[in-house]
Amino acid sequence: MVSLSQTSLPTWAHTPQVEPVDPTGRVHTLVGVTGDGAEGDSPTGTAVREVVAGWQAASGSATLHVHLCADVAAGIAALEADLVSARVGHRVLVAGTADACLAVRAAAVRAGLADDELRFGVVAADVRTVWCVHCSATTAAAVGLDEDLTCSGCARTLVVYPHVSRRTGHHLGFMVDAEDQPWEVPA
Amino acid sequence: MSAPAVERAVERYPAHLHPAYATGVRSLRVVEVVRLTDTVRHVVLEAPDGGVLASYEPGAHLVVTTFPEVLPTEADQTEKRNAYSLTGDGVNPRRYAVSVLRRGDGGGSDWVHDALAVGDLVEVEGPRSSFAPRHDQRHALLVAGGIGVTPVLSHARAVVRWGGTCEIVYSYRPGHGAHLEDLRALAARPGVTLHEATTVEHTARVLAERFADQPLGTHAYACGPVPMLDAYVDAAAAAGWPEGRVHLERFTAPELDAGVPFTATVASTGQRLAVPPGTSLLTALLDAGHEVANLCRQGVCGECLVPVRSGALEHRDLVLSESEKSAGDRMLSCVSRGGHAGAEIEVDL
Amino acid sequence: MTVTTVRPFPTRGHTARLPWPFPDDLTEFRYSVNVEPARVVRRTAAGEWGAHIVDLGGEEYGAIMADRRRILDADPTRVRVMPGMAPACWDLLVYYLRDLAASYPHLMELDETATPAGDRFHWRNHALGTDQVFVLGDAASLPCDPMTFLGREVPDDLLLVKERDGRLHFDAGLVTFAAAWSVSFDVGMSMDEIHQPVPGLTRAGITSRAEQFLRRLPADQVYRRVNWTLSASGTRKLDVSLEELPEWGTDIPALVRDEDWGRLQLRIEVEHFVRLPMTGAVTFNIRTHMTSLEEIRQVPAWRDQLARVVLELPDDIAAYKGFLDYREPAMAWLTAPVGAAPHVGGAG
Repeated sequence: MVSLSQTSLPTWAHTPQVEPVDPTGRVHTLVGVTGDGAEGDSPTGTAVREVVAGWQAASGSATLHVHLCADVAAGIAALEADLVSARVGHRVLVAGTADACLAVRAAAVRAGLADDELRFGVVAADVRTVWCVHCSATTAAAVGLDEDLTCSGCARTLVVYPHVSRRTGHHLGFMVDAEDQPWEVPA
Repeated sequence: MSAPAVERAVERYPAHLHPAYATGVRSLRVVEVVRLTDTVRHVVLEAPDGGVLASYEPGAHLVVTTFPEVLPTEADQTEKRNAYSLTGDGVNPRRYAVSVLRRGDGGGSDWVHDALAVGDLVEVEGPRSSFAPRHDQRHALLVAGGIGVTPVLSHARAVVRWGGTCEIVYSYRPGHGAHLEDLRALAARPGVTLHEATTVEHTARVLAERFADQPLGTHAYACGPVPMLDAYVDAAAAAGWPEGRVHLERFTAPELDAGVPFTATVASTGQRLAVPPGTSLLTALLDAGHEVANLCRQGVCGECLVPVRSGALEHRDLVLSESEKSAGDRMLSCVSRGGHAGAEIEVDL
Repeated sequence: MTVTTVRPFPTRGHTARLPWPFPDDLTEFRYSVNVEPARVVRRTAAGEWGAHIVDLGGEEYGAIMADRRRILDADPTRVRVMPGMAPACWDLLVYYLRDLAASYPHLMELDETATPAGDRFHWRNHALGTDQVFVLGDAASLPCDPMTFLGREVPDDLLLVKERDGRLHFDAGLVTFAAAWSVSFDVGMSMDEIHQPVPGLTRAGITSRAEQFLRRLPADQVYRRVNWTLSASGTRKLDVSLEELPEWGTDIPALVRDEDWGRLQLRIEVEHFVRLPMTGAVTFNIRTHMTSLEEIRQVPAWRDQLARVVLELPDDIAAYKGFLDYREPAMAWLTAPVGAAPHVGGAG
């Protein structure tokens, strides 16, 4: 087994941790994806608000834009609105579950940000969104790396690879039987 | 794969079949010489048969063999190899053009000014990539100081060629703005703007302004004298730019001390080389018979990069980024050394 | 043509062109960065290969390209080009068309003219009937993007590697024949991000050395590397991508159950590495060849060598290559005297 530190999976995507504010940034967008529903605060939401508050306290004189959003779509929308006229010197900090952070990271990368302009505060890392290589459907589930799940699109049993797309934030999943087959990539 | 076997095979089977991929030592003809300023001469070269020349990345340089009258080093040396930035966009060129500042030290640049004439054949090698743009840049901030305009002009032309956008900052002394008209013509096109500055204070002010107002995904590039590059790096940091977006090319390296003694082991043979203060790893490797490409020997051009398997390093070059330096798996053998007196390093040669 | 020697084995067609992956004296295989200069002709027990960067595949060229074009038409996600990589794709196209015209002058022609509108190229491929004029860098002058245009002319899978942030990234690719690879997922990743599902290649730091090699690839050399495995498919089907896994995933279990070893395929990949001068991108182009154990059995030197190499492999590499479970019966079939083993099925 290859150590996970060498893979496309950031450490925070499998082990919750909060990265510190980059003191060199001039403007910070803080996006907290709380997962809160109509029934009120969730444990995730409480943890996310704590992370965001910690970042605010550590931001010094930088300009802050803070967005606490119920779900990933709202978080991405808030981030994209902020970035329309953003200039280099801007930093983005995202708090939420690993799955939410991967999804928002993909939007930030699409907007032109690089890894050293992004920070993450992950409060839970049990749920993953898995992209089926056979039918392109995505399935979100509480599933571990190298474990199986059923594809919501084609009902095939997929194995979850510790292999995540920077472009989409999805994990790669493919038919479980393939593990017994010879396969390799060029290198 | 042993080196001699490779060389034999390559002799029998040329790597590239088409002449537009030739980058080895060859002769080109001078077809045009233009005086741009009192001290800058623009030289245009073509293949003797007029054919297509090798394409190159923006910011690349051409190595030109010159014959200076005053020789800087060994008395028996009759020629010198100088690297000059190409000024074109690098796309399928039929001409190479360089602009050479007269240094007045009797070296290669003086020879270009005093001896070269239309019709002459000159020996060149390359082009060699040395200051390439990031292919994924969303926008470019291009900063030139003095004769540092040459690679910046190449970048700007390539941006225009491929439909991108850029801002150019050109800092020059009045009357010495080589290629100013070329840059002004580029700035007349959509997506290109030019900011001119003619004093140190004005340059610093323009840099602060421009660094504060670049769209996300911009990469910045600068070439020029050391004080301007220092101002450039300071302005980038003040505007909150991460290091990975700030690129620069220096003309001259700062003076280096003789350095610590250390030992280098050559991985392929196990040979141990003692490198005393005042001797570079490059010299030690060459003296021991190892072929290591090299050019400037000042930690500027990047030619003498060697892979490193293990050992503490002291990086003293101006080529590697901070992250490349901290990776510890490569070094520029002309200036960089073992990390402390008595250090043991293993080079992957 | 005068035939002066009669060889004991077929010396024309598929087998004669096959890039047999092992040197004559090799008895043990281990992963390494086994690169060598391109364009060096290698003689094998059945013929020779390697004179050109692009191996058109002789009389199979038309069929291979029909398959390639069918896959590209049906699944546009087989081509992915990251932002900013268009110049590198033009660089690739021009390099390959120039090389093809020089390598196969009786089949292919490229005329170049400088015009006020740009560098005009006229490409004619008489084998496929292509006749196309285009202007370098002008996307509207081609019917598709430049990488796809090239991919419809040559049998190679096309991958471009480029450095950013000090790491090599696969930032453009056209893949229809590569094994268990998804271009739409992997393009845009760095080499060390991609290598995770390839435990064999991380062993002994080989990926890192491969990356070092590509990073230092000089502009004036072209290298190649040959890689091999026993194929996941029991037919000569080239496309064993992840996308088509449901189509081929049941082949091997059925083949193993039926002990139909003659259909098992040796899959050989020839990779070419070229540093493209205009953009500094490096090619990682892959030409895939397949041959069945039935065909290999016809060439005694190959038969004996393959059996020796496969049986000698340590269990972990055999498991990684996917044939740990069946290598012994398969190799026993291969080396048994012809007629001793029941002949089931055949080589397609």
